[in-house]
Amino acid sequence: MSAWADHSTALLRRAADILFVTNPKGTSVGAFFGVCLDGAARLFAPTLARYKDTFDIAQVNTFYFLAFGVVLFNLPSFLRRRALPKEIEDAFEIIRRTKKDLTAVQVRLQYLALCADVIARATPAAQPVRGGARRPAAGGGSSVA
Amino acid sequence: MNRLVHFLNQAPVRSVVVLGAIMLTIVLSGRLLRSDSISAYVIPGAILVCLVVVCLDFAVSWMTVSRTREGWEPGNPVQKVIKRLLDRREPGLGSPASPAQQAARATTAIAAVLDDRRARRGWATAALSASLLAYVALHWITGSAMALGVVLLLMLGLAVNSASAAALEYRVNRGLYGTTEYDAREIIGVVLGHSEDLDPSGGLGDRAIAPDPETVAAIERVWAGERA
Repeated sequence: MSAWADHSTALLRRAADILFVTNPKGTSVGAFFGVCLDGAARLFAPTLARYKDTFDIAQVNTFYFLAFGVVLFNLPSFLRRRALPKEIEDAFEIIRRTKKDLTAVQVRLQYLALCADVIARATPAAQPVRGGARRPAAGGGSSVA
Repeated sequence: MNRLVHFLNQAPVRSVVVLGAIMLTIVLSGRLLRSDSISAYVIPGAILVCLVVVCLDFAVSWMTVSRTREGWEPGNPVQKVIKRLLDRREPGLGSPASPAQQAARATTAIAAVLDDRRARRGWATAALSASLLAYVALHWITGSAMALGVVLLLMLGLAVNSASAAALEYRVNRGLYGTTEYDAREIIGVVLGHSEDLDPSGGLGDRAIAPDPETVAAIERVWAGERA
């Protein structure tokens, strides 16, 4: 493992998420829908030709059908997109601001601690555990999610 | 078998196999484009590539998720800490859910993220492969000229999807996942989204996870680039 591999894998994942609009399922199914629409337009081209004066579908490129499908299938997730709770955004902001005073390892531990804290709070069966230490307040201690 | 899985699970191997198959198809398609019998070679070739990509992705992802959940052998100090904590977990007191229910929904956050991503990736791979096949088949049926750009775009989507999966597995296997803001946001998003039906603490509840100083030092060495 190297720092290069760490950065490059992180970057690759981000790039892939951007390419798939952070919704691989919607984007891919949208592309499939676009291809099907393109096929239907070609199959029914003789029938659709009679409306050529209003809208000539034969002139529409396959890429436009793909783009239409991708946009259509990403609309629901775009409208449903929810931001993280304000407390969590604040915690990220604190880590970002304190980054310059921390070592790289401490920054990594802060992110893991935040994840572990959220997991503990979001767990439905988060009951007191026999003999187990209670979790300290957010940001305290190092945790592994 | 474990050695084979371990070998196949390495990010470079997976990337080389998938990209190699795609490049081979592109080269073959390029040659065949000059011949008259293009459809006779491109269609079986595209089907073969899609089958290889889908089978490889599903098999390796399934094995990775299974190994992350249980029966998995920790490789580096980060994984050892998680394994030790999971091994010593105890049932909660006064929990409203039965032990069987608790066990059914107990998972680790990483396994929940991997499950979620695996499902999405499976959909994406299947849909892109279906798009590729449908596009080639429709042009074969209608006899119209096929745009190579569309085929390349769909193949690029498949390659990026596989590479992203390989990158995620690399980060998980090396204990790097969750140590950046982007990863942390992803984990938190999945945890908050599935908090009703999953116990992402792996049955640990809100027990504090505080590794001893030697373990922290070992983790630091792994993150600094030493081999476990």
